[in-house]
Amino acid sequence: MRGLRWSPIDIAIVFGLAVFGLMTLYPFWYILVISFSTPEAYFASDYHLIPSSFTIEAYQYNLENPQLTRSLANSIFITAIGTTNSLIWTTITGYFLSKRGLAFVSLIFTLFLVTLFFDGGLVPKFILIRQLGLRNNLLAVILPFTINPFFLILTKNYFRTRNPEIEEAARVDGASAFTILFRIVVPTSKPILATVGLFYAVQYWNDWFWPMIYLSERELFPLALHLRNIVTQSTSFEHNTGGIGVTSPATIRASTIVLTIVPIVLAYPFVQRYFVHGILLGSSKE
Amino acid sequence: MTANAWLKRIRILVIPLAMFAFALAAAQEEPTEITVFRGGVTIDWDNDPVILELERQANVDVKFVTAGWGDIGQVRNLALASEEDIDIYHHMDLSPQWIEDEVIIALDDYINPDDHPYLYNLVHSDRYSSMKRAGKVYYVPMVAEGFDWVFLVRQDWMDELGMDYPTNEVEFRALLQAFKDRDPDGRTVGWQLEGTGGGFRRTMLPVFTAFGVPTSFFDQEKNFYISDDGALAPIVTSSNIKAALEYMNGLYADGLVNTDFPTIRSFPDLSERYIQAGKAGLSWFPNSGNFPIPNAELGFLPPFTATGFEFTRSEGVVNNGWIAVSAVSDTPQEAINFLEYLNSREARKLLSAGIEGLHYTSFDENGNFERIEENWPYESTYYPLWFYFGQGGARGVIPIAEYDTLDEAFANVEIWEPTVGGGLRDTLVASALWTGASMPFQFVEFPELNDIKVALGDALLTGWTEMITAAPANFEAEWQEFLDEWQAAGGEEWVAAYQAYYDERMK
Repeated sequence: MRGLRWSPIDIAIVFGLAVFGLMTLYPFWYILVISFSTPEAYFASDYHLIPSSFTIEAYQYNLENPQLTRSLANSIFITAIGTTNSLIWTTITGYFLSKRGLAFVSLIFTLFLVTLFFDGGLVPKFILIRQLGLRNNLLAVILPFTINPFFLILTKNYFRTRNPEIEEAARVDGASAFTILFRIVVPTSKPILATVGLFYAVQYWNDWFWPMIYLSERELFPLALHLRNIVTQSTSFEHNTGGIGVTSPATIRASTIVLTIVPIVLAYPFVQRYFVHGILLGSSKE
Repeated sequence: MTANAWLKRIRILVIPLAMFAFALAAAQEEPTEITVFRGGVTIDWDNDPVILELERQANVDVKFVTAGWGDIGQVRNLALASEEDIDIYHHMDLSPQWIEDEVIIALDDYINPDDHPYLYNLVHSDRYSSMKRAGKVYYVPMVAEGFDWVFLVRQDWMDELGMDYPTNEVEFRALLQAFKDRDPDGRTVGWQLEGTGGGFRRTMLPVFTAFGVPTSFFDQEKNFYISDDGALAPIVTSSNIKAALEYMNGLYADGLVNTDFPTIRSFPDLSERYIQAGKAGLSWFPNSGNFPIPNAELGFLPPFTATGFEFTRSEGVVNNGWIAVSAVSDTPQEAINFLEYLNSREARKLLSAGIEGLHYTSFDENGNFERIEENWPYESTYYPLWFYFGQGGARGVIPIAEYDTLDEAFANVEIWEPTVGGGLRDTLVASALWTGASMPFQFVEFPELNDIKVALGDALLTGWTEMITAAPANFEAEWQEFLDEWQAAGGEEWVAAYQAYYDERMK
């Protein structure tokens, strides 16, 4: 067996990827270092490459802040319920759309595709939500996002790559469509469900815009909106009020960012092994 | 007739009467629900003791629709466009569309001098007249008491260097140079300039005043010199401003101010990072109140005057935006009554200091109050809704209802401060040396010229940044370029509009 030999091209690629990797990691590191810094150390350094102090005061402050814990609970609720709801309906719809020859499949799929390009508009959507009685209700940031057409395409395509013989055998044995879907198809479709589930979870977790539009009671704010508010208050609030207000110190903002991203980052290892597989299968057309 | 029969008759008569009186009283006492749009409401308004007391006093039931400070415009526009059930809108812009589309209502029929002296005096003042549309009042200005801006200086450094307060621009420069030179590693700057959103313009107010520029930190486009014959000349293109900017250019070229100010985006902590890290000797007032350097002694710099110029105080701020009542409000009169109440002494006291006996014990004639710290649940020194709630911001009361003119009222603003837990009285006293009467054109807005105003603001921001950061040899060229851009942005039309207004109403 020949020893590993690195060509100049290999070295250049590895070097380039390493630089790119560092550029990606540095913002995380920067925020992490600031979140554990004292205010004095924060003001004394520009780049925060090496921590010059250590304190958990910002985390203590945050964890004792009822708004953060409320927002965390809201985000968990929205993400858990939203992802579950979305996965169920995306799976059912994707499975249905994957079946050729059924009535109206093409039409219904086209209707889903239309929503990728055209939108009802912000004001009509807002009025609809209000008329449905969902203003200041967490369901307002869950129900309208039940099926994401892009994830639906991934799911539908994945189901089409499956060998149909098992399903046909089940049908011959008298299994209904739902039995086939939930007893046979779903248990053997972990890659796509894990991938799409992660996408949905990230989407629900990170969403601040729709909560900002539909929720005006602070008790209902999810973590992403809470984070956005404390980040933007220092740039707009102070400016508009001539500096008369109070802003959150940078260390508290940084610790809030860390607390916001940690839960969703923790989800990645559990679905990582399915991730590439699911994406590749779902994105290809058989 | 027996006694029993009499009793029966009385009962028949009295009981329904009593029930009617009781029902009438109950109906009168039913609080009116008022929904208010206001950014950044962080309190639990259903249970907050100050709001509960305020509701009791005003006989209202207050609900808020709120948004983060960065999202106010978007959420407000959406709520207005979708006719959300909101009575009072703070943070209104002056888009004529809201009036044309009848999204907000004219307030004239609801404001009378007897019941609403604060609002009546405010919206019927001469200064406000340009804000009327077809002779009607649609907006209530969010009035603020003015200013709290002053140079904060490292007094301990001055003592160490044996330096006195500068009296002119040469000594001011020498002070900055001394601050810079005392640092062996060369990272210290003399003066920390702010950056965010063009904030350096207001950071430079103390220098402008030294060069005889009575500028305001808001709406600098509306600053005019008024000659004896009544001709308006924009201050931002005047020779005084040019001299001040050339002076700033020299400070920048010599590294006496932080050269990164155009890129500083976060206010206040990044803006203050030099002075907070002990790397600047002078700063505009750092308002965070957290000065982390142990044993640092700070002082306030008195005003100085540039050679050949006359020191002129900057113009105070009196308006932080606009309030409107929406067309969907079922209770516009109650909304106006509530706005009037919010500017009364009792409401201002409640919104500044909290509830007597619960949040503070005494209130002296100078406006000092003793805070009961253990009962004060809020993070800030003042109650979180002390500003942008019925008015723009006063740490006390603006007695507009008690004076005939706005100028008199602003000259008699009362500032209330807690005796512990911080407060800005010292800053206000110091900054009063720098700041004078409010800008005459503060309320004078021309919504139809809004695009020009934005373009002029952009020209100002870009032009002044380029002039300060240019190589000194290029300063003159940059100045000429700025003048050209000012004209191209509509400067002439802008000045003409204000000139016409002045000639008609103020001359």
